[in-house]
Amino acid sequence: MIQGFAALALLLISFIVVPLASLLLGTSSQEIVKYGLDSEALYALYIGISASIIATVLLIISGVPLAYLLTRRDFKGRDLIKALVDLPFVIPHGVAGIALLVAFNSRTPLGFILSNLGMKLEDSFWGIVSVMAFVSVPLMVDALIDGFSGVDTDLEHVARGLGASESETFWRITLPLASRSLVTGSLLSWARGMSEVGALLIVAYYPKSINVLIMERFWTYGLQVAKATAIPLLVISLTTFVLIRRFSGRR
Amino acid sequence: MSLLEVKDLNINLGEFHLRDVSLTVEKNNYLTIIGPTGAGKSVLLEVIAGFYPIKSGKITLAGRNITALPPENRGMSIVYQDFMLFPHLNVFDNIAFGLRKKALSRAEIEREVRTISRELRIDQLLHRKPKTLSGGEQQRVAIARALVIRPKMLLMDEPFSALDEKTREKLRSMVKKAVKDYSTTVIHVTHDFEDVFSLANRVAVMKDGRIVQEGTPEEIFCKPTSDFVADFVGTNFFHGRVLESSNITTISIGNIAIYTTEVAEPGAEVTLSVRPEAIILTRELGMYSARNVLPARVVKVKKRGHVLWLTLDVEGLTLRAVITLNAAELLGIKEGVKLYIMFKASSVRVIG
Repeated sequence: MIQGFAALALLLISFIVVPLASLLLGTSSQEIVKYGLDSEALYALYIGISASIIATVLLIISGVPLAYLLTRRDFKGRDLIKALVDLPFVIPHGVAGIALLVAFNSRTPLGFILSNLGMKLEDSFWGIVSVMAFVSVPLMVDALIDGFSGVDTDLEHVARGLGASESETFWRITLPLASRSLVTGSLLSWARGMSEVGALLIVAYYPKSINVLIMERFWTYGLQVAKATAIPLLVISLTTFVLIRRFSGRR
Repeated sequence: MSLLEVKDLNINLGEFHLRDVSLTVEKNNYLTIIGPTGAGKSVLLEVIAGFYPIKSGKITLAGRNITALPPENRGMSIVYQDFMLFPHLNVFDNIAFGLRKKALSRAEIEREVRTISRELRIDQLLHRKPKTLSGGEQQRVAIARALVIRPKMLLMDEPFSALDEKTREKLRSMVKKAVKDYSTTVIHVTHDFEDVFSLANRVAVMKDGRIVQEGTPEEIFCKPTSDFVADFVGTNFFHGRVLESSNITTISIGNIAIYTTEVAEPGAEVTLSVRPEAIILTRELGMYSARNVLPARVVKVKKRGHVLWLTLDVEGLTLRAVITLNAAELLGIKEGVKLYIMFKASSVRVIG
């Protein structure tokens, strides 16, 4: 049985490794420099990376309180909220983009206020951030729910008995013990944001983020150019993933 | 004025509830709460600690109404069965956790941690991470962490249940001394009567969310006010005077003498306990290794599950024994039957 399992497992691994490897190995360094590191691509990389980092930070700021409440307080509608959080998983990306556009475009009341504050949704940096945050919500919140659920409430009780308030207990006990989940959630959110295209095409084609640029070059110039454009993004993503996984100390 | 006064407490947590619980604890008392599983012992402890809001009732600590006070302002530290050390902090930082909240200098914190660590003999472990410690060591750290802040009350929820018998024994004597040295008032939930005998001066018995009896260990064990308490504590008690204590201790009780392996002061009045299951019955006398052999008459027979509870009259003393249905049939046990009982000197415990 084990041999059979190993064969199937190997098949699955090659399914991931072979395409990535052929992408990396099948591209000359001249091509990478010419298409992957030209000024347009570098700018698009900068947009994509900074937007996904900001989206992740915003998700940490709002997701940590949400996940804490969902795991530490019993209230009506808790299960409904948990289900809502996972909704972005099941919505097609294009539909998510359309929904965001309908709800927050600058002709809606909220969109109007936001655009006057310099945070216009359509074809703007903040539009990219919104899209990336939207699609990453489940990854961040589910990871944090896992993390907080894994912290025994009796540990918090002990801390309270020793004189720590609920917020001190949160900062000194609960959050440190859930930190691995916070790292995992952030990493996944960031990666998910970096890989979003569908919703971006609808909400914020411009400023061109790297994903959109790769797509555009594929349509305009074909596979060879798109491939070279994609390589720096691929390298950055893989390296970050490996490094963070390593340093967050998988126990 | 009592240190802690709990009045008419009611709470419903679905699975667990408390009903009209009233309880007072005097300063420097050691109260154990006993009762069957699901009686609400742990819930009561956590309600006193302030972890659950209560539906009705009032809790007063040193004259101050603390019913609505958050746990951190009550000055009660808690020790759980599963140690609950903070896994990301080393032993020193675990113990110092509560001290950092107080306006103490670094040197004072260090001194307090070292003092309690020496008391509980964990001063060699201060730099270690909790997961590298044995169960007994972890629980000593947890107790040190709770005691070092000199709490108004120390709450313990089955603190020794996860430990082996030898470690328990050791911890009991350490806790006994530490609690005294830190003049701490304790509420200790347990299912182990040894904790009651060796630590408590007050006992509360709980059933179905109520306190059914509260008093000194002697009152609870010798004068149960209900059948439930009598059945639950179920052990035999005698009062007697120590005649002599050399390699074996002889205690005179009425017309009879009972032997125990425990040491006692000659001339002292003592209370003895013998568990009902330690008593062996026989119809005829022979040669036995048990030191205590006495004539008895069966007064009452009560079937409970797969065993029989016997009430026996032993030269004017009332004693309870438990035997299996098979044994009862073999011995022809019924009310009025005369026979002999025996128990080993090592089964006789001096409890006070």
